[in-house]
Amino acid sequence: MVRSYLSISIAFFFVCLHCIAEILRSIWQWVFPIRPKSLHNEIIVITGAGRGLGKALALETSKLGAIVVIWDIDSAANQSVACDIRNSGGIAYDYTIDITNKEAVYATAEAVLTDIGPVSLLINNAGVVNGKTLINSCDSKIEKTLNVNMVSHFWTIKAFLPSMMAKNHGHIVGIASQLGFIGAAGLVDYCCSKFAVLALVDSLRDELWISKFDGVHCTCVCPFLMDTGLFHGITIRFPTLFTAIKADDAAKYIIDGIRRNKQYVTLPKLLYLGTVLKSILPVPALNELLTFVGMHDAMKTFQGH
Amino acid sequence: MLFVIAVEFFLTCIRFAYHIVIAIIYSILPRKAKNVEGDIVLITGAANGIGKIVAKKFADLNATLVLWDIDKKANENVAREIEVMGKRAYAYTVDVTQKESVYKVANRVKMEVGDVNILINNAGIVSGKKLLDCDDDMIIRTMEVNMISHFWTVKAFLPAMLENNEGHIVTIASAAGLLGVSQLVDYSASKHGAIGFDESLRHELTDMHSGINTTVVCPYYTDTGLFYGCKSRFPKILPILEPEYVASCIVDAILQNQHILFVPKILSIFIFLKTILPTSAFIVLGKFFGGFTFMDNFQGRAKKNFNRKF
Repeated sequence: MVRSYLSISIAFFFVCLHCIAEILRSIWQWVFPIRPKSLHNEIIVITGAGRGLGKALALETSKLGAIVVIWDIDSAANQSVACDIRNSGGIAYDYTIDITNKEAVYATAEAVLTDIGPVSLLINNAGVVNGKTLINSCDSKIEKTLNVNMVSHFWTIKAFLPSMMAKNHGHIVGIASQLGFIGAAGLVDYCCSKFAVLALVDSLRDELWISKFDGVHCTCVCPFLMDTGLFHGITIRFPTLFTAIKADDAAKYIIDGIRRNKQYVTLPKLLYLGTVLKSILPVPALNELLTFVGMHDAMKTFQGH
Repeated sequence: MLFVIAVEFFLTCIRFAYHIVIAIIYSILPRKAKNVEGDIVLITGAANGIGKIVAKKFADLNATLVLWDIDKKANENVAREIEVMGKRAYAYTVDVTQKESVYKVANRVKMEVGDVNILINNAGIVSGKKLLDCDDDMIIRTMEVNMISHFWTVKAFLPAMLENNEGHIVTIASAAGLLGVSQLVDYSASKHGAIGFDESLRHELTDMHSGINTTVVCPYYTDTGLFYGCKSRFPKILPILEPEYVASCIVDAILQNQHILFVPKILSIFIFLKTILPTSAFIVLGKFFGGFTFMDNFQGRAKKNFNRKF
């Protein structure tokens, strides 16, 4: 018994050394980032690419030589983005699809694989905001938020992951939110969906790691508020501290993180402090800070798209 | 304007410090437990596991139990066992994933029993398969039972709580709602979602000054059969928990209006480490504590009830 405690203690000591080594490696990579991988001729599927962040991601990846496959429920928006890409000399394909319909997801994915080729980067970006308190939300809006923002990720991943695993080459990206780390009033369904996206990407990463598919990466992206209109009308109490990020700038930063196979891309980094505080502060104390920065009132003026 | 903000910031700091001191005091001294005699406590998934034990503990405290479960026979057995104890229990057979059914039965509860004071969203299922091996129907079912159903039950019972300016909504999540786990992609997503649901709801209710409490419970793996076959690498640090113990912790947390309960408490340290360590370093720790081998021999509970839908 003493011997087993001793051997566990020694093993734990070496684990701590390994942790410290990983911390040092992360600091090193932060100072000297790894070379970003090329997206040239890689086939990239982006959901919700008809506007907002999705559109910015489509345009940015196209500039890097990727073959962009645009998925959106809005066919006019789809075609407009595809046109923009082609006019700039890029290659784009667009598919009008409701990603909450899993049969449609599988059929369209099959069409993409057959017509274009194996997809090496999937960006689950499509997202909607209901923006009402739970009591005032209608059930259909709640269901739509959960299905678009979260459940649809299961179908798109199941559609494209097998071919990535077959080649041990691929990348799954989930666009979550800073609201995947911290809840907010007026966003019960939205936060629920974004918390779940974080977990899906984390768990999938573990699964792939255990199964030794080290060529298939997973990234979770957690942006703060962007100027896409998704949260149009919300009140930010201290706008100089909490500025809405431009979608184009966000897209550049996100794609750079994906190209460097980062596990998380959080922007801005500083807001992640909220998550650290959440894990140590008692709930009422954290609540005082959130009340002061106006978090509970933010959604009261929400209008949306 | 700046002066007003400065004053507000000063007051915020005072209140912040006050809450820290209170939290430190109550980490040593126990809080006063509230009296639930005569309260109506509704528990989903009350026919088995933790739900059943929590129901009996509330019955011991003279609360009136409303038991919801999809398994009619087992649910009615629990109601009978509570009645034999000389306490009151009402059993309703409900599939919490069907929102029309939830609303309909909620109305029956209101008429036949009364306004629910404590709602415990406990029903949960696990598939335990790798994502690509998991049927779509099972994924949907896991998300619906573990997470989406909470929207319907809370919408059904929260209005009366708001009118009465009192109530308690309890979310039974999981340690898998704090950390991602291989072979639990859908389960972990649903439990994370449940935690996000609780946290956002808590902010809404606080902002309304509603007088309604919320509690979210994150137990490590509990020996109810739900995770049958799983093994903990270091049972002395992270033991597979006894359901009786977890149920006691849950009841105590509800009686003391605790916002968040980790079982065991040491989980909070892992959560803190997860927020500050780089992912690769945390994975090293997780691997050492058996996080990647835990599900190797998972078998789970027999899922007779779920065949009904398919």
